[in-house]
Amino acid sequence: MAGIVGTLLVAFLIVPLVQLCWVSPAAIAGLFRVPEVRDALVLTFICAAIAAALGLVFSAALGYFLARRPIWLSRLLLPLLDIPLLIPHPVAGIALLLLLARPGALNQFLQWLHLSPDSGSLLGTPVAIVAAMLFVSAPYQTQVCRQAFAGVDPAYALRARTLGAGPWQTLFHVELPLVRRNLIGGAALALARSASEFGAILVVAYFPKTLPVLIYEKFSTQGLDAVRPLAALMVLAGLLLQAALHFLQPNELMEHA
Amino acid sequence: MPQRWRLFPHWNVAHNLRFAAHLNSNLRGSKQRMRILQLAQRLQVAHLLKRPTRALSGGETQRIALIQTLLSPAKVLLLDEPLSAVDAALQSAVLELLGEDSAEYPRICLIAVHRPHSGHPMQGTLPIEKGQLISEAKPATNS
Repeated sequence: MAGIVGTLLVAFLIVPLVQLCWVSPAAIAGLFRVPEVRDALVLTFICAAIAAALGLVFSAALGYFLARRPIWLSRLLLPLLDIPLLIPHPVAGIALLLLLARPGALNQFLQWLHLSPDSGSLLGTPVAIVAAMLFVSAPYQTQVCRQAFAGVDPAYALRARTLGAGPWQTLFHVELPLVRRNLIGGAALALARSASEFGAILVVAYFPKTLPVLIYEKFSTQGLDAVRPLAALMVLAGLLLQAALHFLQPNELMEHA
Repeated sequence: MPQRWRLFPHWNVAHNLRFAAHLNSNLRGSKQRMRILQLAQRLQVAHLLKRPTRALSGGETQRIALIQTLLSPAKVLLLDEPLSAVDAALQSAVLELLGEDSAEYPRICLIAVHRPHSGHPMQGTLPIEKGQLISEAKPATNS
């Protein structure tokens, strides 16, 4: 019985996507010749890669810090960090407006560094897109990093220290390599999450258009048939990332420990 | 060196030993390679240098962890039951090596054992019962 109910769910999740992707490969290949699509594709994945890389550095640092501190601190802080995932994404975008718009804190900081854009506002720039992507993906990445570092037996770090390694040597030679698969897996998850972000980006940067924004625009102006190859392309990109994630997990080293 | 010895699982045996040797500023270049090979041959693990650590038996892991410890620059060695997983046939080789190491390098080596025997290269024993030192250090009869 459980199998039948489960199969229904699998069908519900898979069938619409298969239906969506049921377009000729030539139509998908043809998309790469459309400058608008090419630009959106490049912009989306470059911004998503930057967001994932930034997220990796900051989430790894935070995850490492939390994994080495008493568990109550994680129990207190992590639910707060999950809030960007629980609110509607346009709300996340509106919250970012306060940071990115003309009198916002980030703008003032950039002005101080003489790096402020000509318009005086970061809205509608790739920076805004990366910020929106980071906002909705970093909480996932922090969770993954904290779990990864917490899963490493502290005996390895202790062993390195007793052999005479300093704290940085221990971190870079022992602790980070032991969790590298998890960290890369977390970054791939963040990349996928960032590339598919729509709601928050719509608020802070309608232009330049990312793929999800372009899909939404094409769907509302030209209808379902016009958007299907583009949507199928997005599903295939997700599938590729999923395959990469599957390859990177689970971490055998943790099992060995 | 804890009784539940651990080698770094993301490296092979040679890399584990190089890591410890690299931390020791007295061991550089060819001297480092020579010392690693010399110790590995003494404890009969030279043929395991390219193996991943998960492919080692308990006794092999313990001998390699001991070599790792001896390569490190530590001034004080605390060895908790260093023979607990070593075959009887190799125990004397390990004890001999410990004796030579303590003669060659000016460092303190404390070995925790449940059953001390005359083969241990000790300059003295500190008998402990229920966590308490029960008498002053006794000079070893074999030293």
